[in-house]
Amino acid sequence: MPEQFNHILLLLARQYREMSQAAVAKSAGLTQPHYSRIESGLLLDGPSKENADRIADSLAFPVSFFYQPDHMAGLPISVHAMHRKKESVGERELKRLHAELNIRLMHVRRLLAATETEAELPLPRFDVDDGGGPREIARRIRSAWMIPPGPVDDLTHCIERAGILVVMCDLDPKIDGVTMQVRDLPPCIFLNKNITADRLRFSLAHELGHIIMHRVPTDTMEDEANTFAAELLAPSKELYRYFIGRRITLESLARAKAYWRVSMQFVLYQAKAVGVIDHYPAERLWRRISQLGWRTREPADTDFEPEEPALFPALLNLHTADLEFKPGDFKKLFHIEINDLRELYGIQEAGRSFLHVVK
Amino acid sequence: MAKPVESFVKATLAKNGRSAKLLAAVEYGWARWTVHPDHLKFRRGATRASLVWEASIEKAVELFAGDSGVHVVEHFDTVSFIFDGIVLVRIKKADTKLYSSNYPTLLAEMFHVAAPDLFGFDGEQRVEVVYILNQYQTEIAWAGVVARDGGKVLWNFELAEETKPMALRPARAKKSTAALAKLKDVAAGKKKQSGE
Repeated sequence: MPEQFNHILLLLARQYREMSQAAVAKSAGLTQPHYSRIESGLLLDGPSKENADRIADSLAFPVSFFYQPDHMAGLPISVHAMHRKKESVGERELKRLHAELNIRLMHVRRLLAATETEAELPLPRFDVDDGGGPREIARRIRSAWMIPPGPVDDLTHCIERAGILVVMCDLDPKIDGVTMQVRDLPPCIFLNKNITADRLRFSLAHELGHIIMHRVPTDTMEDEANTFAAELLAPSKELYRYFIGRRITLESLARAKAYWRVSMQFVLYQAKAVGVIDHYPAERLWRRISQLGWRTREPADTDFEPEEPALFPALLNLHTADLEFKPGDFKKLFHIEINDLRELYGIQEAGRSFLHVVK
Repeated sequence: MAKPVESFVKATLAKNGRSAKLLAAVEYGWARWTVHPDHLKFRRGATRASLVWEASIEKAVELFAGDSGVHVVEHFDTVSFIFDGIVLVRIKKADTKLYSSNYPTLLAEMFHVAAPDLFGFDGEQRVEVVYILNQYQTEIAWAGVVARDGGKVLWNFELAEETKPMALRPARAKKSTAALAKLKDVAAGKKKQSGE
């Protein structure tokens, strides 16, 4: 274990547990000012070994967690889901998310020490204006990835082939997905596994838009990512043709949802945008959707199977299958406790010696 | 007039490459419009529709000249094509709901009504070949055959689909992206073994 206590990781661990400084200090038997100095890195030699152990116990992390050299990445540039409901996502949830994403990035870093991923598809980066706008950029991506006309069959598969890691997480219900891009790792998209398949696909396309188009936050980035996502999933020209000769009703929206693998509301919104439905009929459908309570949850009968990432689970599986990792080895690799291992990755011991990776 | 029967109309238009010729005529009409020196200046959509129609009809007449089963009928201010004495086709522009618009003369309104025979022919099945422009009206998004019964669209099919040979997308087994993850040491070990 290195000598240097990493106080940044103490902050992350505390935010991950959603505990106050006072609570941790009390639980560790320290005064709050002293604990605060430790967390702020004001103790030149870090805490004593005894205090480090007590803090680690309080936060339910192995003490080795705090002696890792990792730096903290800032909040993700992609805040699409958070922006959408920014007011309802509290400061505390944001801090918890920030901590979890950083911890997960550390795990990806550890996994990639012994493994590597290969990209089969290009991942070009475009400036929005130079690239001709989000729609044109989405069309270029479809072309570069040789996606045939029509719906994108498996967007997760395409994205993983471009070398992006897609990780399913148990995120706050108000957050659909976030992207983290740090220098030494492939881009990582973290998606909320509890949302419906259509929202997952849209969030994934939205996050991809950020990766391709955005280096720094701008006022228009969320709209641009939404436009990119719409064009990627259902190109406006094709959607226009799709609706020729079709009446737009709730039933036809449900059929379009199954065909394009997007939400009915997405289809209705885009149908209006491409001009195949007039303002008043569209408004009537929106009202009906609201009355039926479908704004937040479209009927289960119209759900389709969610896409499953395979690349990130493969990194875990290489460790279990080829490197013969047991839960205890993962605990040591990630410097976390078995409960966290189970919660984050579904890794648990069944009986004595079996290991299951379920996500 | 009998109600148009989709399979019959399809079969009739499939003979002698008629579907392809109808599509070619409509596309020619549109192409002629796009090179019209004033096409960016004209104000009325009806002007465009008229010019596209004129050029389309001109081309269709030319293309069907060698087909003895096609009868070109010039009525007052319009032209129809009668295929094998039964399928009567006229060329129109339509909206995305497949409706063409006409000044509501008696003849125009009767075109889509099954009962009466028109133009001196008995028992014809009347359909429209329509083209639909894209959202910004910069190109043809769809061209096809539409049959109506009054205000109701009975059926439609796209001419492009009819004229293209059926191409099935080859079923390709999707390789799992799990294969893109590898052990670093395995790669190094292989290199070592091969003496690289």
